[in-house]
Amino acid sequence: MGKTTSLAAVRNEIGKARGLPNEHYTDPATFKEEAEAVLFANWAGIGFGKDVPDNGDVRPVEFLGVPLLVMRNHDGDIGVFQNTCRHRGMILVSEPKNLRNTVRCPYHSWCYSLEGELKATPHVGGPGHNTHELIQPAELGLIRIRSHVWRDVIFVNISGDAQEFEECHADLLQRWQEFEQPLYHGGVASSFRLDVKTNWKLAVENYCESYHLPWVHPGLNSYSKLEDHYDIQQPLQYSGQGTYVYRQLTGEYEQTLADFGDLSEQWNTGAEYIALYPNVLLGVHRDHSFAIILEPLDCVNTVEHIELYYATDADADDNRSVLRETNARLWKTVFEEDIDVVEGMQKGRKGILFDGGRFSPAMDGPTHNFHQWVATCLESSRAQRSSLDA
Amino acid sequence: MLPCNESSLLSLNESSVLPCSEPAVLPRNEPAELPRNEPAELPRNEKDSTLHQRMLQAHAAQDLNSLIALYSTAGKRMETRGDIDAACFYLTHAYVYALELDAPELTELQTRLAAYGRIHTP
Repeated sequence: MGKTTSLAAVRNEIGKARGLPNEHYTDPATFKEEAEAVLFANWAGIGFGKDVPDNGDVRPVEFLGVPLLVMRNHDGDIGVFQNTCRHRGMILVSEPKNLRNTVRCPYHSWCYSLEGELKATPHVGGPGHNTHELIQPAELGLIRIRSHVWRDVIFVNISGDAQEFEECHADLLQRWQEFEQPLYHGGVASSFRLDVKTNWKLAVENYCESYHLPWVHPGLNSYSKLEDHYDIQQPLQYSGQGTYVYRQLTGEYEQTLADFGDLSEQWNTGAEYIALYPNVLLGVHRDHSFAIILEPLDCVNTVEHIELYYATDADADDNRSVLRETNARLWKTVFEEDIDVVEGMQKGRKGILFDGGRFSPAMDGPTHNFHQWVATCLESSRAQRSSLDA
Repeated sequence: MLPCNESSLLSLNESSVLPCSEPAVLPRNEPAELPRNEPAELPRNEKDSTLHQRMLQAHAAQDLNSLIALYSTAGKRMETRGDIDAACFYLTHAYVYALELDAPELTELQTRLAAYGRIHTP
């Protein structure tokens, strides 16, 4: 581990605070510290339920170098496991596939159920002898990673000691309770990824504030002005922005996308965009939603996995396919417009005299909220480590 | 310890995918290529080496259904010859593939291996 950064300035109240020091965007050792203290210690997004649609589907995912295996069992429930055989540490599954019954290790054929139970240990007691008194299957199931699926995002808590997801995020679950209804993925055109040369946190910071909208997304000025937006801040949990003037897309014959059912009046023209810390960006509207998972590849490279969802099944609602495709195209344009600024902020942090920058007390509350949360996670982790060292 | 000896069912060589490193003991003039799509269950008088070739073909094709049948056949032959360790070796392979496919043969294979005390009782 490199030198420990000072976070005191980040913890100041917004008018006096500075942002996270440069090392949090440029230093591999600090990236590693954040991986454990921020991304592993909380509920991080690692994938989407729509990518394991059928019972028996398994999908390997690597998150910050940790090999994970997402499996949908025969009851339709999603579980996440370490993708590592308990025998000699072989990677179990190398590509997405559908399994009838068990995961079989390609090395010595130890077999695991879709719930991770060790089901067979062939020849473990010698040829033709498949038991050994010292190899107890009950002790050697796949290592389960705590997981929770919400809004089709698969969240994991790798450290295993975060609060339950529903307790941790009770406030947001309540805030968006009206949207707790079936989501239908929009299909191929509603799924895209952007590879961005930036630290993952800069993508969060850019997403959760509206200050940049008139400058970076001038196309929004005609109908969604800066003053039509409001900040969303929940200390140590999430932050973002909302708009009062969401305008539905209309098709050639004035048709619109189908609405989610029984929404209250505020959503007629309201929409909200929230960064659920650490790495999931969510948006809700009366007629569609989206989820973005930020996959930090390393200190300076991030993949944005973007998926759009609707109130009706795309297969059963073919006459809105053009609208869905138009909607996806519009969003892709907006997200691509952000690439220059998040990559530019990354480059700017090579300026060795940059001091973390300042926050506008009027406009940067959501960003400061995020910085404070990161600083809190790091301080908590450092305190734990100190007490262990002592 | 591997069940490869003079009475072994299978010939094994360096390219074999089977877990045995003993030298090949069966004639080299066996046909390398066997007709596809034949039933996995062989006539009783079929040579062991033919069964071995079929196993290799099934492994190469990742044809798990055939592997279940072929290893079951091998297991039965060894049972007939009274070599229970060797029988359980092959039955174990059939069992593992049956487990992977949740194949209809799974229950019977479990029962047989459990009867020999070779797996935890299902």
